[in-house]
Amino acid sequence: MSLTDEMDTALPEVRSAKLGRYMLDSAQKNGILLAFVVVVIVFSILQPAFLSPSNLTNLVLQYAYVLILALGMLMVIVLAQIDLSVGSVIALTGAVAAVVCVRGGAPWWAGVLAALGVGLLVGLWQGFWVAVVGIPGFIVSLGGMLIFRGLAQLLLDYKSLSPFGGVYYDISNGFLNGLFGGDGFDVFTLVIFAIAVVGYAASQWKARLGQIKYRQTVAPWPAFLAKLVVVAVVALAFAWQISHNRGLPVILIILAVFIMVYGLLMGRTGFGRHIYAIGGNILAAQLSGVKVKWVTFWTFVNMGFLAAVAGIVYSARMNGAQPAAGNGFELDAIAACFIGGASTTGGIGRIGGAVIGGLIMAVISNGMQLMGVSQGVQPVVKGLILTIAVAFDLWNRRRSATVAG
Amino acid sequence: MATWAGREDPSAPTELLRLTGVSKSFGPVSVLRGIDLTVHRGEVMVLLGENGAGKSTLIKLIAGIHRLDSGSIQFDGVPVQFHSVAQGEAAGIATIHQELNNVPQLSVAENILLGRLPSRAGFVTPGAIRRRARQALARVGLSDLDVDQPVGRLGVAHQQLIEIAHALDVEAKLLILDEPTAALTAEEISALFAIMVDLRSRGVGMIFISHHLDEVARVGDRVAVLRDGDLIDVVPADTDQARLVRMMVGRDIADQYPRHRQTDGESEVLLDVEHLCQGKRLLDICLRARAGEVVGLAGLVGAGRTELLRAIFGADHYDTGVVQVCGRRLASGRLRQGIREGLGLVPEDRKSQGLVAQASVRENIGYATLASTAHAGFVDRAGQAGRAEAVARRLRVRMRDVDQPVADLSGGNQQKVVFARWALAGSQVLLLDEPTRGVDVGARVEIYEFINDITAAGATVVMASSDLPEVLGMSDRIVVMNSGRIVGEIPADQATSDQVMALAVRDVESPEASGGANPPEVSGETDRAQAPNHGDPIKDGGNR
Amino acid sequence: MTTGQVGAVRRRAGQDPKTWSRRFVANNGPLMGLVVLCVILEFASHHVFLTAGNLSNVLVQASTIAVLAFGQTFVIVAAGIDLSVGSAAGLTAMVSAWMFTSAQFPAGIALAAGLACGVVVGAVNGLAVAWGKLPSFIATLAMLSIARGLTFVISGGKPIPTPSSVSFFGSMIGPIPVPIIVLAVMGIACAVVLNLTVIGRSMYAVGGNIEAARLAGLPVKRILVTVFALSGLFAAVAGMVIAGRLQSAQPGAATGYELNSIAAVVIGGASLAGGVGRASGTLVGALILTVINNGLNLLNVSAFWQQVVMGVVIALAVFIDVIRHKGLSH
Repeated sequence: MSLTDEMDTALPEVRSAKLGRYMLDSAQKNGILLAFVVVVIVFSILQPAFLSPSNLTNLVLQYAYVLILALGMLMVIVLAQIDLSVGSVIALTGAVAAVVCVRGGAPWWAGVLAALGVGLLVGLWQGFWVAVVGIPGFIVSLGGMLIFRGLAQLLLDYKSLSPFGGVYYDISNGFLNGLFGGDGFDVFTLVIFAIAVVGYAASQWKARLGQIKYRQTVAPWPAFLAKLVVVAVVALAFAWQISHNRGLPVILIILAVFIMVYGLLMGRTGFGRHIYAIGGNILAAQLSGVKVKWVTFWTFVNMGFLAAVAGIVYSARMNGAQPAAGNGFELDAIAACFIGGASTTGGIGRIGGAVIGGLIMAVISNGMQLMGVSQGVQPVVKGLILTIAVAFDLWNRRRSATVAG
Repeated sequence: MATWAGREDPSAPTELLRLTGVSKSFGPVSVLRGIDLTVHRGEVMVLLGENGAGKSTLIKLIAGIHRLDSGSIQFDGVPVQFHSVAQGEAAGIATIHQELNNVPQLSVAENILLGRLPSRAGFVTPGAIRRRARQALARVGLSDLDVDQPVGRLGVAHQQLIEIAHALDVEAKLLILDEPTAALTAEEISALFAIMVDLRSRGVGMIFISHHLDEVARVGDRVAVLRDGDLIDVVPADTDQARLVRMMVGRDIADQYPRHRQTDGESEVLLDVEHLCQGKRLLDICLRARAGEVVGLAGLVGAGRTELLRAIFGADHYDTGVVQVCGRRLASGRLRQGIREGLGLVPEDRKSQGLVAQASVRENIGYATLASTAHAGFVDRAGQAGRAEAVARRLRVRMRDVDQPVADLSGGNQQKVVFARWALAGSQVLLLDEPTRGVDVGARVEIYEFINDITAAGATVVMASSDLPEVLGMSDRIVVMNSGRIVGEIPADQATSDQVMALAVRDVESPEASGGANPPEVSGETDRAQAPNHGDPIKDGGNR
Repeated sequence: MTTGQVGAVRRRAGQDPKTWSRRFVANNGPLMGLVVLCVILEFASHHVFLTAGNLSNVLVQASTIAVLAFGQTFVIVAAGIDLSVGSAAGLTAMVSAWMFTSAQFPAGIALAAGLACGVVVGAVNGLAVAWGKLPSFIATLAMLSIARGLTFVISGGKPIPTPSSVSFFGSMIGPIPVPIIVLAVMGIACAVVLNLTVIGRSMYAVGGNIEAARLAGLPVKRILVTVFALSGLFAAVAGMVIAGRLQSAQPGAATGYELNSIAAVVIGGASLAGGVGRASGTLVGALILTVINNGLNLLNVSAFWQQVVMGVVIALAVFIDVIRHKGLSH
């Protein structure tokens, strides 16, 4: 069956939106994406080096931790909770890995496992207080912030511990390249990205067919195609640039896997949907038999786990552990979620949004660094971004409430 | 009227649920005492009782939301003690709760299957979810609803039907319905009753809570009457309604509403609302209340009564219109200006809107007058304590002393504290929203006496209430709201509950059905107008 | 505890002296804890703890945390949280020092500018919470970042010597260190505001039930702005004490102090759910934290453990808070 045939048979049933109306709707829905594009354009004008192969590579390597933290933080925020301790957990887990690998001389995987184990313990601890005892998450994690920072300093004796070197170092600094050769650029990187783009297009197409089957409103045909083309062009352009530097960063693959896994977890599993239910209306969730405590507990355990992953990634990138590592990272992660459309009242927020929010935070940090903005200005800007993102969410909700009412 | 109670099939219906000596207290408050009750398969057991009689607590015990203090529950022949809703559902007990319990952000389908989303290897299966949701929706007559849209976008009636679909998705042996009809139109109620007939014929037992006595006879088999935590009796559903009311309230209804009506109709207008509009919630509301008058606001849940009171008070903004208090125009949303001019609001939910639970009686009474009695920013502590004590005594608030935290008081005394706040502030226009919800009979009468006192002293009261006998018994004039409009106005001494209900449930979406006093269809329907203080207004809803 | 409160307790407890004493202990758990702590330390430190020198030392050490915590008490009573107090303390002292050193203003004006800066920082928090409807921990988390950043911008990352007006906060009047006087003055101010003023009583109402407070006609937004502005002012005073003692404003001063201030308030018996809290309790809470620190120092415990201990103490205090208030509702 040809594509046009399929469209023809499907169309009478489909509530296909008008193109103009759709553009307006999606501009509202994809405001974050637009914001991201604007931020990228602004920085590439202000600082031409921004889009250079080496800087794009650097961007990925340096800010991977923000995205990883944002994944866990999004789940916590959708649950209508918050975790302020992630920065300290990064320091603690990095310290644990360094103690095991650098001081103890154990192999890299032992350090990784030890760090992940400590992260899980952190999650168990905080999950217990939040889910079982019923203390608000922000206060538990405020205490945790202090406890874990103290433990990190205790472990490191207030000195940094380095270098990791070897495989551990390569987690955040290694590259996969040269498999298919290439002249001045890495063919392998391009191939991987091409596969990813095709996979993305296929999944979008399948989703569209599903929506048509269930007689839902779908994007008009040209808009659908245009979206695919734009995504493909941007992704391949990005791939082209980084293939001219050092090829495909290992961390990018790790990131992609995490984003896909957590996207599925939140969108497609009972666990993920229950997180939305609890955040949206905890009473309704309880009365419907959702295991509120159980879901809350494991969401925090998961946050501890992801903070440990971020701790490993960050310490690998720094090639060592510092007692002050991760200071203020909770702000990056929280801001990423709110920029990405999560709501302070819970129940709303998507993994994709948090990822774009994290990218915006990364681009802004990187851009300011490139431009040589003073150390003091960066926290000011980040604080303002957080405020504006949350205020925008509130404004948006109040507006839609009056429209609906 | 044909009722189910007299059905010809006495073939020993098997027992489904047996409660023995069930008791429950919350802290010092005993909510249920020694309840013995059985429900059979294929039987609709109606649970009747006033607000606060313990109905909701009883069904929450059965559904596994609360735990028993003492007594036992036998379900399907087995002694059970559910620790969670999920356990109850697994055993075959489904509940439709009184409050809307949707997650507005989730889709219709996910809400219907919440807590039991079908999944394969941990992943939810969208196809199965949609299919099962459609099946459940088809049973409530919503087969063409888009199951992927967020529930928050739907209207209240649809949300209520989704709630029902949520319960029907469980293959229940026992279905508990806690006031499911409050937000539904007559047609939707009929559809729901048809579902209940169908379920009953398949042997499902049901516990049905309703405040509408005519529904009792329409769907019920037997009626269990609760009063103040005790099971008074279990009687057939075709029992005389007056007798049911007597069982519910414990005495004749006339004694309950000691309204002393004033006769002069031309006293000063204290509250004048003209052409008030607020989105789709309030449409062109005009309302006047005169000194010495009690204006009753009747209507279904969601008719806009609460919204109207809040808009007049200034708690919410309105779009257009004029509100005047004692001849002075108030700006929209300027709550404190309204209070200064003599407005006071007793909100519908005293726990979340009326009282600061940890604070003392004295503080709670004094909030509205805290600033006006202060000297240079310092609180007049002694003065406020004295005044609060005096006004609390006048309202007969039962407490140790004015320093007792208000959380320790009973519901009725807490409500009196809210009234006392406005008494202290000298409010001339008192807006009451469900003033006696969850208030025991004794405190209720004291609140009514207070309403008599202040209206006799020249104040005016606008009282919204879902308790129809209360509206009929305490008002001088009844204004009926429906879908954000005022659809009728009836002098209370001529009003009947039939008349008021007819206005309240009428479909007003059609343009010709606009408001006005005594619309023809209403006067045509009522064959006798009866003064409620001469008899029982609820009788008029009867069908003998 | 005032005599009025004792009277109230006695009235409630009736005539039974046993219940009275039990109630006294229950109502003054933190104070009991402090006494027990002091007794233990006195023996564990071989009678070094209860010397005049060490006690004065404890009070001086407690002054910054206590003053921050007094400000935090307003916010927590109003059911909010202020994470920016540490940064605000650092920023305000830096503003004063910069005004004097770089902008050449007189010392008095430099001090006033610093205090005003605290009020402004707090008021901005309050505006974001009251009018912007931001959750307070988000608004103040952003402010934590912003104020700390501004401190670095102003100072260029280097300490600035303080003017005499600020150094005064670290000096002595006769035999009495000024920080102790500041502690007493700010504590009394906090108690007076909370107990005797309209704004103070309104804070309890807003924290206990914001909707009920609004419907009773209290100016909720104005109250919230005032609450945060007061917290900012108290943070500024604490910042002056810190800078005064060091004779210089440090860009990293008071980092992380927000936690200690929250801990002091919660240990002192306030509820994070709002509506409950007293200045006297906060003072006891701050003293407990300081005494623990002082004791760990006296016992030569590593500084890193102190942070861990502090975290656990906070967790315990919050745990007790939750249990206490679960008991209250049912």
